[in-house]
Amino acid sequence: MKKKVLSMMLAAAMVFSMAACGSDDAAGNDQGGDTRQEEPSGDEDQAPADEGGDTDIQEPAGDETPSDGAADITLDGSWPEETVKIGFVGYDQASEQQQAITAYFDYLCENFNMEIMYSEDLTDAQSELDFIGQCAAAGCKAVIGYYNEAKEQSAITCADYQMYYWGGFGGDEESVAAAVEGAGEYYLGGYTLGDAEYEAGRSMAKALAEQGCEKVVLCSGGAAMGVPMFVSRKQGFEDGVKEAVDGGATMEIVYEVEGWPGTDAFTAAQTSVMDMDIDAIASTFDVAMWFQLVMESGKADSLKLACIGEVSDTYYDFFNSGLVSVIVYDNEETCFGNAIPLILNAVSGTKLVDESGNGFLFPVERWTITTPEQYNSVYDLHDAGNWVVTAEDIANLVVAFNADATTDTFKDFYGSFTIDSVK
Amino acid sequence: MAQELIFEAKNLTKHFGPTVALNGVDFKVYRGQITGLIGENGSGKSTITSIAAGMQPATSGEMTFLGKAHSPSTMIEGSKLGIGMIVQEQGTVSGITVAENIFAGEESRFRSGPFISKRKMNQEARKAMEDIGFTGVDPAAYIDTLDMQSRKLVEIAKVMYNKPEMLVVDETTTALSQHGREIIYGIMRKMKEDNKAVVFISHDLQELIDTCDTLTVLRDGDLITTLDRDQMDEDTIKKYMVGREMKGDYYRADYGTPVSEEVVLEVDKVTSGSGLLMNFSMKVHRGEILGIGGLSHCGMHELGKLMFGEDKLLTGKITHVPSGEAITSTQTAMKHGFGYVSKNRDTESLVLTATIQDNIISASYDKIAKGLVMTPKAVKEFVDEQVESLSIKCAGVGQDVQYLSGGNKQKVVFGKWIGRNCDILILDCPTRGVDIGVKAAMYQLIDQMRKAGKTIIMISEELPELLGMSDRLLILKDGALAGEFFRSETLDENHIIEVMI
Amino acid sequence: MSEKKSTKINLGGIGKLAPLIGLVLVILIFTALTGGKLLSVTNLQNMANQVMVTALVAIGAVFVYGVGNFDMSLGGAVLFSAVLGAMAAVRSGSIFVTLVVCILVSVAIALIKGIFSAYIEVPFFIFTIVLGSVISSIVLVIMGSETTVYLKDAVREIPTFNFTQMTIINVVFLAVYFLVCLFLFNYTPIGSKAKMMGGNKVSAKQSGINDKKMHVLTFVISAIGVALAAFILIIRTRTIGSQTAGSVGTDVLIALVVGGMPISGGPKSKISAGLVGALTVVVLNSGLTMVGLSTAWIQAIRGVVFIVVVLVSSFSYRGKLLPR
Repeated sequence: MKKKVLSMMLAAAMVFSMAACGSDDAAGNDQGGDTRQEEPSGDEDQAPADEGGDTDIQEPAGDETPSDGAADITLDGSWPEETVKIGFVGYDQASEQQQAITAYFDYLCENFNMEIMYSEDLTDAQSELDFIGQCAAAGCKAVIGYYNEAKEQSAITCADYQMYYWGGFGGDEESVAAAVEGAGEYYLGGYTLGDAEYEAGRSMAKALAEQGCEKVVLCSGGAAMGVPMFVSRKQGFEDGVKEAVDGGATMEIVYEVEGWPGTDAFTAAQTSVMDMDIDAIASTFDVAMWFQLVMESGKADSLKLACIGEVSDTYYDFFNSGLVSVIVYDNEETCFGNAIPLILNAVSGTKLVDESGNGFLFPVERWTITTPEQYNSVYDLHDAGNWVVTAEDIANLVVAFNADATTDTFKDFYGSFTIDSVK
Repeated sequence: MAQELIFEAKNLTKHFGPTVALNGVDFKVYRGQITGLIGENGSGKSTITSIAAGMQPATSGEMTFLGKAHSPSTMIEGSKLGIGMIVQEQGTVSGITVAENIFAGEESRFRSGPFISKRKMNQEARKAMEDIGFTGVDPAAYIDTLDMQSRKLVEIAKVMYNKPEMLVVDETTTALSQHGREIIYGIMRKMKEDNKAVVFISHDLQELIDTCDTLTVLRDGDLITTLDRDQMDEDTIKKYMVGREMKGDYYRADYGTPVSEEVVLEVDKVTSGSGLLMNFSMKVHRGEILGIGGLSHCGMHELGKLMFGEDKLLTGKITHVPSGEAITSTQTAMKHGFGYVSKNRDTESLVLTATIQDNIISASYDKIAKGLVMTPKAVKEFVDEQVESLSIKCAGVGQDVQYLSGGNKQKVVFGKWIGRNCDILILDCPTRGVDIGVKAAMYQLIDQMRKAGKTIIMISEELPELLGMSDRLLILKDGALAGEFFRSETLDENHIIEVMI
Repeated sequence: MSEKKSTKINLGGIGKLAPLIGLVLVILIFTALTGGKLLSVTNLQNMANQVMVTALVAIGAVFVYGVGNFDMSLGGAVLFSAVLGAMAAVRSGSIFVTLVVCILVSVAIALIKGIFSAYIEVPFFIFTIVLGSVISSIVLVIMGSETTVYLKDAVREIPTFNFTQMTIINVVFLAVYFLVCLFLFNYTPIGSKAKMMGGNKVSAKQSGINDKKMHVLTFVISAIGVALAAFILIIRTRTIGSQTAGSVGTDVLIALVVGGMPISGGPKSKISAGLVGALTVVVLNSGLTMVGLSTAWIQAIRGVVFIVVVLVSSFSYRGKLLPR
């Protein structure tokens, strides 16, 4: 009996320590959420706009001072009065992109009275719908469909629970129409990057072609396993290469590395790639696992790395040293942050709709970063706790805050951001 | 003659919840003696020795061993203090070699540097086995390649290697052949000569009478009496064990009852897959008790399995004569009313982790169920009938069978087949490991079945019961028929043994 | 001479009831922690939806594990059934055809498993792992570049069920399947035979139990559960991809253990384990998410609960052997 109890305790200790290791910024969410509920009506004496709005960003719309009708609303986390709980459907908490989004939302939660409930790493339609149900039971008013497998079914399910749904279904217009029909007023709309995943692959290929790379290795990630996102990215990349060749460049994919790091097969493939005579390695996901190999092989000067990734610490040095030359970057503020103003409007009774009165798709640019200056301008902003799209910018798109806000101003605002807008 | 006390238990008591296994027993063991312990199941004889050896603690009372107070908390401790114990069940560990078994837990003895010298370990193992007269086994062989008896001998070698001052032999001899028993008797004699002590527990009265210097009888947790050599005879012992006169006959009382001519089962030139049985033929008549005996590996156990359709035939045919159908599978055999009680009770006749109820119904689903449905009521009726008619002692039919004594387990097995109303019952060592009281009941039962017209085939290694019960007795030797004997008052063991060896 | 009665330690009794006690405890704790929201009508319907796949497969799995077959291919079976069923749905536009296809596919897989375990000497466990992989690969090949099957592409529209309708369908399916399995397991020889086989193959055979037939039968019974689960996945999510039902294998194992089913099968198997275990896991998941903990904490707590459950259930297997 003693031995049994002891072994159970050891197992429990193991479980806890593993959980603690994995919970770095997840703990941050918790605090954000809790403090929110403690103070539904915060301090009244704070000046409205002073959270790091001093950058050189060109803002196409709105100014720093609240206009009439909204004089009482301060951006200190006290508005809206009733906490807006929002569910977030994600698929990989450890991914750079999701972590960047989380950091941005944490900042926004300080300014608005919101609480975000993140899902576990979901993988299929069933767990997605299950999570939406849990959000409803937890009292969420809206769900952000960052990950979406069930297409319009997710929007319809949200509507069943009387929650708003944000998501662009990757630009699939058929699904959008079905969502409008099935979810009615509860469908907010979402962004489209055209054919997002496909375009990402294509832009990478284009950028590498422009940089003069001829022999390229492609890491196709989950394409071999049929994961849709990667299949599209790979397709886009291959087509991009074809277009470059048609345009006169000499470019070819000499090798394809399938699957994920962590398997023997991937490691073996990496080793053999290092021996090849190539100009660039393009990855449909992260590219950080190549850094050490490249440095050790001494090819750092002759190789270029490209990826679909993030502006973060991980890439900082390597981008600046020239090793990583292309990053296709979905700026989390413009691509996903737009959910917040849409949700805040809907929740406060002033939902933004298109001409037919429905939720709508709106275009947002994906940024292809090819120079260190571009990279650093975004990085420095985030590093200083500043953001490309600030809380005031968002507030200016919410009618309760700025009576002049309209659907068009919203579309124009987000649609106009490019990497060049950030200096 | 001054007797030196080597072990003494004073007022030893053991409770298992409300059950009293030992009730203030005073038990003495002297040097230079083989002390026998006998009693029915549940009498407490194994409890005393297991407490002394360290397998479990006493509830109250004291023990002294070698002049010092004695209360070991584990068997290893008990063994280090000088008490060695050999039990009835399997005591060796599968998956490792003979030498590793003998020195389990003590491998560091053979350490040289960071390695363990297998060579040295094997050498010592060989020596240990030779010390008890067990030769011919390679210490580096995996224990699973040895048969049950050899495995038991390895276990004995292990215990003896630690040179115990007091050796407890707990019902070990029942599972051994004559050769194995000789080895144990030899060890016991040597212990006696070396002025050490032996506590010998067995159900075999004759064996105890032959080997022990004194015999202590236990009943229901109380020590009844201790008999000296000259007081030991079967009837007296039985009287003390059971507490009353054994009424009636032990075996069958009749002689000269005619046996029907009708053949129900025909075995024709059969060879078993293992080759132990070779081109064997025989006929079984309706209503007879056919005894089959011989030395361990004569092929009789295989014959039993073949007759039930359990194993594959290499040559020949086994036919159920009234229907003309050949027996090729268990299902076919059961269809014709066959039943089979294996000699490996725990591993083949019962599912130990299942309840008494589960086991009793396990051969009779088709009889209990009406169409698809098997109601709990029908099951209960079926089971209760067997439990009652066989007087199975248990804490309820929902009790797991593994907690029953050997005798009651066997009753459950019987219940399984009797409930099915088998016409032809094949019994292999039916009374092994079963105490006197239950044995008697079983012989009565078998006789009753015979009188009711059932056919019984009894395979056994115990000559007395074969002699006492069979209408006809076949002796096998090396896979072939060595002799056929008919029931008669003048038939005795010596006739049989001549043919067996 | 009376046989001494053996009395097990009281803990044995607790051990048997542990799963049920666990379920009640978990419900009570989380109802309190969520201020009653756990049992709100919405959430009850949620949980009914969430529990379906695991419960249907786990209940049937009691037969398979009970016989002693450690089957790791159940997730693959659900996936295969769902994929082919969804494709049939798209091509035919008929719900009825979908259901039939699901059943045919799972029963076919069951027959393959039955033949294998009855006639081939390779350890069954390994076979099921291989089977699971093979199924995943076949699915990828079949789906080709499609990667996901959407019900909205169907030839004739397949009705979408709203929330309430779905819940009703779920509850009905689950209740019917559970009752049928309960009947088969406890009121026909099937359950007893399975338990005996799981306890000791040799003894069961010697008692005349036809092991080959039983293997196939248990697989087929569990296949119905698999088919129903696949069918429900199709009509509820309307999206079937290569990752569908990915976690079913482990979810079912966890549900069975939490429900008190001995993983090696045998006489202590009980049909309630599938249902009770699945319910407990679903309530636990739902409650933990609603309380708003970070996912790392959720996983840690799940792990600890699992350990505690295993510890308490192990009490029922402890009893002192009375020496003879």
